Amino acid sequence: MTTATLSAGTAQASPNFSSHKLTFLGAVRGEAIKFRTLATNWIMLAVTLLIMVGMGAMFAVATNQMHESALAAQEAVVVGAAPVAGPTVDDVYNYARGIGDSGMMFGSMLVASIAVVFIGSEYASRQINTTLTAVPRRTTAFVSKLLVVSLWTFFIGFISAALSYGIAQLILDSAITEAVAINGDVVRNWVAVGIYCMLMSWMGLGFGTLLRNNAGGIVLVVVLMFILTIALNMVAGASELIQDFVPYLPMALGQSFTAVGVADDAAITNLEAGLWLSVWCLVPALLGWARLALTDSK
Amino acid sequence: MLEVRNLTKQYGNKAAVDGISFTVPDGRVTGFLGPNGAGKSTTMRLLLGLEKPTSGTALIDGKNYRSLPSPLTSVGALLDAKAMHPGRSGRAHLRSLAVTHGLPASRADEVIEMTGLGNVASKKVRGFSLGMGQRMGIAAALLGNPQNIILDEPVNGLDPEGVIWVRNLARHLASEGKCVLISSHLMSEMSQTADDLVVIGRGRILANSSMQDFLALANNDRVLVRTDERDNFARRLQERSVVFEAVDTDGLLVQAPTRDIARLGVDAGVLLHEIIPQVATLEEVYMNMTRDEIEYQSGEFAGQPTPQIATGTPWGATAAKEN
Repeated sequence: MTTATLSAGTAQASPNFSSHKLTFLGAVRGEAIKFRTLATNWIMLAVTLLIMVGMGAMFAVATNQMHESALAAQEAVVVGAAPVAGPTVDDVYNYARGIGDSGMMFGSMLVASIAVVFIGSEYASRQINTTLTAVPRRTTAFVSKLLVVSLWTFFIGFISAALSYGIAQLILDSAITEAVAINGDVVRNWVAVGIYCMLMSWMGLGFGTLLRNNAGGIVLVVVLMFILTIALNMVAGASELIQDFVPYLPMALGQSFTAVGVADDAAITNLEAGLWLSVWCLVPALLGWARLALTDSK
Repeated sequence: MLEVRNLTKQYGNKAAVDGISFTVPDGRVTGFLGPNGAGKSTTMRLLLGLEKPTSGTALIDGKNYRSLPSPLTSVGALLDAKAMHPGRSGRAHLRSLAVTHGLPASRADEVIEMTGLGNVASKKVRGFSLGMGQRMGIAAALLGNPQNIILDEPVNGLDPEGVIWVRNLARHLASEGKCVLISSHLMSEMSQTADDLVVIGRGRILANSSMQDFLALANNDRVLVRTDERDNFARRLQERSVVFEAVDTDGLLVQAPTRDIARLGVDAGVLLHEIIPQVATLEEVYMNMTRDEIEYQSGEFAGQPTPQIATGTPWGATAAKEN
C-alpha cells in the first residue's frame, strides 16, 4: 500500500470545491447510496418479499376452503337450515381482493427491522459520526434517512402485495378469480400495504434512533406490534375500556387500513385506521428525531 | 481557522473540557497534545458539532459547524478510523459522503488513490486493518479539499511509509495555507510535524505556544560532560557549588554554562573529551508538564530497567556516603 507523493504539482492541481454546498437532495442521495450499498438491506428486502408472497399463496389455499364453506353455508340457508357462523361468499371475495395484505403483519415487522438497523448499525459502527460530520443539520440528516427508508419500504410493500395477488390468482378457484377481477379496491389494497410498510419503517427508524441500538429498537417494535396486542386481547374481556382500545392498536389498525370491503359506516373506516396508525408511527419517529436533534451523538 | 473560546463540556459532575481557549491559525500545523482522557477528542467533537458545549464556543472560520453551508469543503475530519459501516465498501462509503455536497464521484476515486487504497477500495470495510481504516478516514477528510483539517491520532496503526506520508501531507496542507490540527501521542512524530502546540490536561490548557517556545520551557542549561577523571572533576564542581549528577560511568550532567565548564576543566587540568549542551526533547517537556495531569496512571514493573540517563543521587551526596 503506497500513498501518492505530495508534490508541488499536486498542490497546483488541488481542486477547489468551495462552490459545492450541502443540499437536502444531496443528503437524500447520500442516504440512498448508503441504503443500496449494504447487502443486508437487500437480503432483508428479499426475505420480506418472499414471506409476504408466500403468505399470500398460503392464504389463497385457505381462501379456497373458506369459499367452499361459505357456499355450503349459503346452500344450507336456502334449504332452511340454521345459518352457520363464518364468512359469507361476499366476504370471501373481499378477502381474495385483499389477498395482497396476507403476509403484511410479518412483512411489516421485517421492514420495521430494516429501518431500525439502517440507523442502529450507524451507531453500532460509529458511522453516525461520519454521517453527522457530512450532514451536521440533524433534521436534514433524519428526514433524509426517513425519506429513503420510506420509499424503499413502500416499494417493497406495494410490490409484495401485487405479487401476492398475482400468484394467488394461480391458486384460487376459478369461481373466485372469475368473480374477483382487478379493480380499484384491489389496487387500493396494494397501495395501503405499501403505506403500512412505510409507516412501520417510521416506527422502526424512530425507535432505532431513540435507543441507538439494533436489538433494543427491534424489541420495542415487537412489543408494540405483537406483545401489546396479544396481552390486551387476553384481558380485553375484563374491561370495556380495553375492549374499546384493542381495535386502535397498531396491528389491528393495519388490518383495518388495508382491508377491502369496509363499509363507510364501519366503526373504523380505512381512512380513520390509516390516520390512527400514522399517529402510532409518527410518535416514535418524532421521539427519534428529538433524540438525534437535541442530544449529543455519542 | 479554528477558534475555541471559553469552551466547557460537562458530563455530570466531571468537566471533560474546562473553559479552554485557543486558536488554530491558517497555514500552520498545530499539534494537540495531552494524556488519555485529557479532553482532546471531546474538543474535536465539539468543534465538529457532534456534541453541544455546556458553555463557550467552538468556531470554524468564525462559524458554528452546524451552520456551515458546505461542511465537507470547510472541514475535513478524521476522528475515528473505524467510523464506517463494516458492511459497505470503502468506495461506496466515500461516494455516499461526496454526493451530499454534489462532489463528483471521481473525487472519491482521487482520494482513494491519494491514500494508496486503490486495491482495496471495493472491499468491505470490515476486512480493513487499523491502518487501512486510518487511510480511509484520511481520504474522507480530504474529500472536499477543505480549508481546515482535524485529525485525531492519524498515524495510529500506520506503517512507516504511511506515517511519513501523513507528516508530509500535514506539512503540504499547511503550505497551501490550510489550517491543520493534529492530535497524537507520538512525540517524535509531532516534533517533526507541528509548528505550534496546544497541550491539554484534565480539560485545561497547559500550554499554547510555538514548538520553539514550548521546548524553551524546559530547563535547558544542562551540559553532558565526559572525562576520564570524573571524580576529580566532580570534586572541583562541588567546591564551586555547581549542581550536577552522575551519568553512565564517565559522564556528568552539569547545570552550568558550557564556557564555564570548559574553563573549569582547563583550570583544573582535567581533560574533558565531551562537552555537549543537552537539548530537551518534546517528550521530556511534555512529560514534565503533564506529569500531574495524567488521569490513567500506569503502574511500574518490578524489573523496570534503569533509564539511560540517571536522575538519581547527585555526585556530592554519593561521595559523602562513601566517605
